[in-house]
Amino acid sequence: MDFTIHAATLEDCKDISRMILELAEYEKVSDQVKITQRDLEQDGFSKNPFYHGIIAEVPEQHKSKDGHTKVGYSLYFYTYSSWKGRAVYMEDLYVMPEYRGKGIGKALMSKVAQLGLAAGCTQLNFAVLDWNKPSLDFYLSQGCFDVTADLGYHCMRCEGESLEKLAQGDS
Amino acid sequence: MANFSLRKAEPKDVTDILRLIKELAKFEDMEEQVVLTEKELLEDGFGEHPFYHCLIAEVPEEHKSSDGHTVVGFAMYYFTYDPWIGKLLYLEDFYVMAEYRGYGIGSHIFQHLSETAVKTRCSSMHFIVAEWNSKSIEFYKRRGAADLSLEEGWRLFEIDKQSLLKMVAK
Repeated sequence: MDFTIHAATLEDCKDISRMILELAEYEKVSDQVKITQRDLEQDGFSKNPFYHGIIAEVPEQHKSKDGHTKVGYSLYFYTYSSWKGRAVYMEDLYVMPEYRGKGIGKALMSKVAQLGLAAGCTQLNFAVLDWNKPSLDFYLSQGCFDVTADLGYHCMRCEGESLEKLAQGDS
Repeated sequence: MANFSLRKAEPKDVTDILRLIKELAKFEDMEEQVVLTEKELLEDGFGEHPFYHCLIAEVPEEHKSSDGHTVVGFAMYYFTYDPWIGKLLYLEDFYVMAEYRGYGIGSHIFQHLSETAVKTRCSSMHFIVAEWNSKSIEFYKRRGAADLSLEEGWRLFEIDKQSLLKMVAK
């Protein structure tokens, strides 16, 4: 099936928002999505964007049963490794279920890799849930390595009340 | 010794920043992994679109270290994005020289970062910790940090440059 990949524009935020919710609904956690289409527009398309996006689109004749031609996306941003310098982080990678198995996911990831290399990055990072065996297997077969399993680094988070308390110096 | 100040890093600090990055990497037994140069730190941190921000902890001249340094701690951070909750602050490196620990410098740096996160409307502050680093884990847990790898099963993955080049060549 024919598809193209393009850099996300302001107009794409409606579809990105739709697909973010689709993914959250599939994982049964759509109540955790606080970001709106408006937030995506402001955060991705102002002078200092917090993220970048790429969209996979199919021609009109292959549109989805609900009439969508934008069928996949990846959200990424630039980070920095104090060991190696510029890096790119792939935050989201999603293809609508009816368009899977056609190489769209691989093409999106490859595009992020290309953009990262062009920007002078020497690594691409992302996170995977440990129960997601198909994804783990796929990524390991692509030459990735599991930083958590191999080097013992754990992802940590300070949020909500803990973050507020910390900021006020209450700890 | 209670006197220290926190300030935003300036271009002149890149020598000290690299020194402290290497000291931290040595502590993590990863010193040979550091290939970053002062030139890159300068370009990437102080250009039009910085890739990172740095907070520096400095002591007065009379309290300089045994090797003559007044820059004794730092934190390197940048902003990331979660499509569910928005902006996040990511703490890449956080380190205080051994001879300056126990004076609250680390606590102050961490508090300052939290203030920055709240002021810039970040929902959360993220970072990674080596699982054997129990002292640091205690420090973070005391301040309300959650271990996402343990609690939610997240594993951090990396693709290095060689594998990236292979991927785009296909």
